Amino acid sequence: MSESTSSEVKPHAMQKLLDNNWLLLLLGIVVPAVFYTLWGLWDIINIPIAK
Amino acid sequence: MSTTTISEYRIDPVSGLKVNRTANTLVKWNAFAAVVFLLVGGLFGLGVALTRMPSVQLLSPEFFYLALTAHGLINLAVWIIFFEMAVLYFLGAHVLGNRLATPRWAWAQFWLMLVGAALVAIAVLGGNSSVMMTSYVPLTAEPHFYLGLILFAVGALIGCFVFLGTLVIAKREKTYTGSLPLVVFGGVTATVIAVFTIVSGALILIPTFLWSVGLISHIDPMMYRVVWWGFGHSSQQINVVTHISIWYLIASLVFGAKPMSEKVSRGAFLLYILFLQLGSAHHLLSDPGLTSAWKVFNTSYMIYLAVLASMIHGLTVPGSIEVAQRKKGLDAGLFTWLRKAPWGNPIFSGMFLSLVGFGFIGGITGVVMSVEQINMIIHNTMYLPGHFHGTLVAGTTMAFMAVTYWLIPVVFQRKIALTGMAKLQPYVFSLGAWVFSIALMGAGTMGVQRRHADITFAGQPLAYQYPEIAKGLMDLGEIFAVIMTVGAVMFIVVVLASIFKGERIAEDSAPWPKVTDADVEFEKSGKKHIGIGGMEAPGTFVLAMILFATIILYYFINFKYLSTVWGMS
Amino acid sequence: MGTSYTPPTNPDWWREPIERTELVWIGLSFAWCLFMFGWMIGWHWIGNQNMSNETYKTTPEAFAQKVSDMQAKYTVRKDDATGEDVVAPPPGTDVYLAGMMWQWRPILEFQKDKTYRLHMSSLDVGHGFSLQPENINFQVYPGYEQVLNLTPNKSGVFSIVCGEYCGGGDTMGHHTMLGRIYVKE
Repeated sequence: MSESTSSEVKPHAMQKLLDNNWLLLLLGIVVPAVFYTLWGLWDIINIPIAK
Repeated sequence: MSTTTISEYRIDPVSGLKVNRTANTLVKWNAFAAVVFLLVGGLFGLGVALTRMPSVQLLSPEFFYLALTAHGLINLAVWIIFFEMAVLYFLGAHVLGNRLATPRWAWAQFWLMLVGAALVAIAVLGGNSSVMMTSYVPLTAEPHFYLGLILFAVGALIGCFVFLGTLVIAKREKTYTGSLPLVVFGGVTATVIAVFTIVSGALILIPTFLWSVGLISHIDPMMYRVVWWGFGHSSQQINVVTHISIWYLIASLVFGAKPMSEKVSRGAFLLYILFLQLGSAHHLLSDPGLTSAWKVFNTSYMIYLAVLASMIHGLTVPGSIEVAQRKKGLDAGLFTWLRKAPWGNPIFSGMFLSLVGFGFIGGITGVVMSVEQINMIIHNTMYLPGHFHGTLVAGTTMAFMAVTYWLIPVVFQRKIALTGMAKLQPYVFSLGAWVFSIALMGAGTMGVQRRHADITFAGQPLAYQYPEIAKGLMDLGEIFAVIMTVGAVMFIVVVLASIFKGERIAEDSAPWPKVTDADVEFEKSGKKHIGIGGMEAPGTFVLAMILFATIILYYFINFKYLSTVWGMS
Repeated sequence: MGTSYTPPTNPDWWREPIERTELVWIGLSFAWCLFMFGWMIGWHWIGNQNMSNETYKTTPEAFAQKVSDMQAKYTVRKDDATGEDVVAPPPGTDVYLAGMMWQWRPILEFQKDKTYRLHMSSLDVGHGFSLQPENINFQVYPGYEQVLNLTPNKSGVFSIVCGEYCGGGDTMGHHTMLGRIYVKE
């Protein structure tokens, strides 16, 4: 199943991303912080006052 | 051969790993604490179960609410996170032949978590902090309840960074070459999620603590829930990632299985890193005020991409076992590879039961429950504890138990004692957990609400009577809770017997036989192909298609049921 | 030897081709994921059961006032079980239901197949509105008033129980919290 590779082949960009723990940590915090937490709090802050 | 100084490392005869002694001590202490808390939390759970059986009602409501708070926190948070700390140190140090970065900070992790857990326990046992694990404001607990949780969380956060620092050291000191092994990458995924989890927890629990001592005047209850569930559910996602990593580990340990595709498995972990936390929104689907756009986007984990990741692991884990088995000659038909698997080995049986339990019971129900509209007919019913015992108990806890049977010889250097009990334990525990989960979900579908000390509304003028079948299901489910407890006690007995009385494995004893390499055997056999029709894992594919069909059927059954209730818009 | 606990044997592992079992499964799963996403969105148009998410900020005092105003106008009789007011607001009007430790009040009466704007709020802690045996469940908060456009499609006696733990002890509490809705033909 594995293909022969020469040692000069550069790793694929995705492989480099997946090998970068700190970048993964950043993404894993920023994405949910924005889409789940901040957007959710934004929805709540914008609830109008009852008449 | 004798030495006058003990070196920092030993070569473990069981696993062949190069083990750092300091790291090993930290793994031991965290794992031991975990098991003790499993027992304590489990006993509170038994009290809950025997109270919720309409025919028993063991505890008075006041004690029930105390026990339920204790059970939730100890089993959901303390047992599991202590075990995960042990796993992280194991992955970062033992698996990489590495030492722990900053052992002092690792000890700080342990003691902070222990002191934090103790403070919470004192608060809950004091009787004025029966606020459930969720502690929703404006329900109020004692200040040391929140403080204990904060300390526990800070300890866990330290553990996460010790793990990440440990990986930096491994890379720098070149204890491995190339990319991290898949299971260690799983540990990275779990840690990323853990950091988001803990920071969310701190963001909400610190103000709530200040509110409980009067320094802050008001905490908005809706904002509390949004931020808290960023902590509360994400903490469960740490468990999912960790138990998946453990599945991959056991597949390799028992079968010599190799990941079917590093790209696919790691890509699936990446989808988890990016989108798994969004799913916390499924706790807020029946909340007012949050827009449908927010609900739909987040509950779907972003167009269900994290669900896709789970479905991927659900195939590639057993698939890797099937490929290894087929390469070793068990290539006949669809399921010979599975029938001839070592079902008497609790490391394997526990792992496979965990996979099936998590996938079929926890996973299918989870995906369906977290549809925005279907949530309205299950929210806060007994369906929820039914579901999450499918994920956390039948899934995560079973997997953690399975790997413990291997970790004890490696880390504690003792053979497993009471092997007869160990062989039986995964089956007893899983039987209990599976039927418990299904029965409670049935009762929940019929409306039985959760966190009720008495489901009969005895003595109330406006009393409502749940259907008799629902009450019967509660009785049935809680009987199986007792069986589940027996299974847990069996595990703890085996663990304690092994750790304290198990036959010692001398450091310099002969290496244990290694599982044979599937690729090597395949080459020797001279065969060119395995599997059927170009598929290397057709048996797993069939099982996966059964899961697939079940999800689709269950999805539409629930929508059909939803369409019959009162119109709402 | 390739395992899950040793580094990948192929250093260029991202470029390795994917085997057929996985490709087929990923394709099928992804298609189902897209379907579920579309269906959940589409149900807002094709389904009769959706939340409105119409919500307002309020206070327990303000909401309690709305409740008692409605009660004064539309009480029709005393309830057989408790002797309390039964309130029957006209279809299409605003109905106010309050959750409090430990009851849902007032007792309401609706007509089948008519639509009501049901406003809910809590007067103290979080509660869980749960209509039985329909098994429709929502969170209810203090300080927030949410609106549900509700159309009973069955007649009979319906109970409201509480799904969100709201404290209490041996004699009264979360597990004794009840309300009632009558639906006439």
